[in-house]
Amino acid sequence: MKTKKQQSIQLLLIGLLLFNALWFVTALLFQNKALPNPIEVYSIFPKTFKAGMAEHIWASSQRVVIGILISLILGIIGGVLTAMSKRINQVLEPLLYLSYPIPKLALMPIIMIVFGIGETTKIVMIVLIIVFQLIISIRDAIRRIPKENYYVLSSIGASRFQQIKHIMIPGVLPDILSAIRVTVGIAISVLFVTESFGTDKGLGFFIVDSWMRLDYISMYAGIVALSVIGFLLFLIIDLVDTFFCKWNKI
Amino acid sequence: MLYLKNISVLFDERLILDDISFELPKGDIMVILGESGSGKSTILNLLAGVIQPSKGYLIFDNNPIDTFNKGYVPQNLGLLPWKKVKDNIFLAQKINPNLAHSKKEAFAILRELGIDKLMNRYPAELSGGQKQRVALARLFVSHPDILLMDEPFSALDTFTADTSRTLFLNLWEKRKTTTIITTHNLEEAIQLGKQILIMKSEPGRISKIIQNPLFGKEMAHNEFEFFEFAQKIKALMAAERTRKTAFHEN
Repeated sequence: MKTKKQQSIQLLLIGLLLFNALWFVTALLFQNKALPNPIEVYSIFPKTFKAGMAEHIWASSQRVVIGILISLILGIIGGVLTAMSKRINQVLEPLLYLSYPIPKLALMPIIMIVFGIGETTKIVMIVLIIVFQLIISIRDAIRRIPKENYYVLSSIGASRFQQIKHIMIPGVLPDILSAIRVTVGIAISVLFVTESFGTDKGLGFFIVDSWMRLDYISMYAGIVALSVIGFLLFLIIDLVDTFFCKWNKI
Repeated sequence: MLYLKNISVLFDERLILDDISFELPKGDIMVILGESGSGKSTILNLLAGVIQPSKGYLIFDNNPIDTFNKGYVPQNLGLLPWKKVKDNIFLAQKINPNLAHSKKEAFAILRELGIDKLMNRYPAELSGGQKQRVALARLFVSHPDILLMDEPFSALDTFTADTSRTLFLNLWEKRKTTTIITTHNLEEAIQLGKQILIMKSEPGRISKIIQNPLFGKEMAHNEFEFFEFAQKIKALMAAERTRKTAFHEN
């Protein structure tokens, strides 16, 4: 009898195998230099690592993790304030709804003028694009908690802090994790664009540089590395979810 | 004695409760009977201290009611889905150490309610009746000064509701905690209330307070005495409904 954990690992491996098989068959069918097969791509990894790919992976991972963490902190502050205070929500809501649909990548030249072409711009871009989604998700999750749950605690004299600790945080955690799941994908896409210029470190730079040199195999190695970063981030979120939100899986 | 004196509640400039006054001897049960929107839950929220009156005052045992511990069961029972049964039941003691009482007595309550084997489950793993019993356990284990229950049996089927009411009365009988229960179920009001307070709506006012001569009597619902008393209350409620309809037509 397999445990739940073993089953999950087995399904994960089947998924990876299917993805690679599909990639392999597509590469065979197209027979195009621009679409190498996965074996060619995986076999180049030792060479690319020797050539300094680890540095690019580290730079990208740092930017995406810092960007998500800053967005999360701002998202929690914004979400809590807008959920708990009608007045703050009335002030911030139009700002949120007006600025949310603006294509933030179009603001990149302005951000570059203000923050320069260094690290800050890349992180600011990630934050700008995902923070609104986090604020709105967290605000709505807080609002969905039945007020009666708070009443039970306040009637026995629970402080505001105790109500936040026992009700608000555990109640919104699954929604925060779902929102982060969605924003991880967006953050990585933004990262690729922001690393395409103004830097010589990061997987965005590595992919575009390989593409310019028509080194498609290295380019795909960069894409795989970027998706592995995303995969690991998803894995961390899933682990936190499994550990802290068991009740939500019943 | 529990006193409510000239209580009025205004919400968004709308009068929700108008001039509510009653007294309930310490250790008695009062059932507040009324239609939806008659302000029953508002009275409980006032007693629980989650809202404040616009006018009037609430006194218990010659002191402001805020100084006492209240056990509150809302309509949705207020069980926190992210906490196991044991953590839900003992949450009050964790929050307010003054409520901590002997473990032996707590486990006797759990055994009496038949939930001592469910301690490690999450609320989502329980049936409606089991959830109800967990809510009762949480209420009695913390030994509050006043019990407040907002239509606590309304979501249960007839048989489970009847069993839960009997369990509640058995627990109450041993402790004689001052209790206020709201309901729109006439039979429930007769079974549980030593005093029955009938509300009229728009705004919420007291229509009549009746001493229940059948309280504490083992009685089938089809017995003449029960039937006669139920008819008396029904007539009072019907007269109030007629008055309201006539008022709206004019």
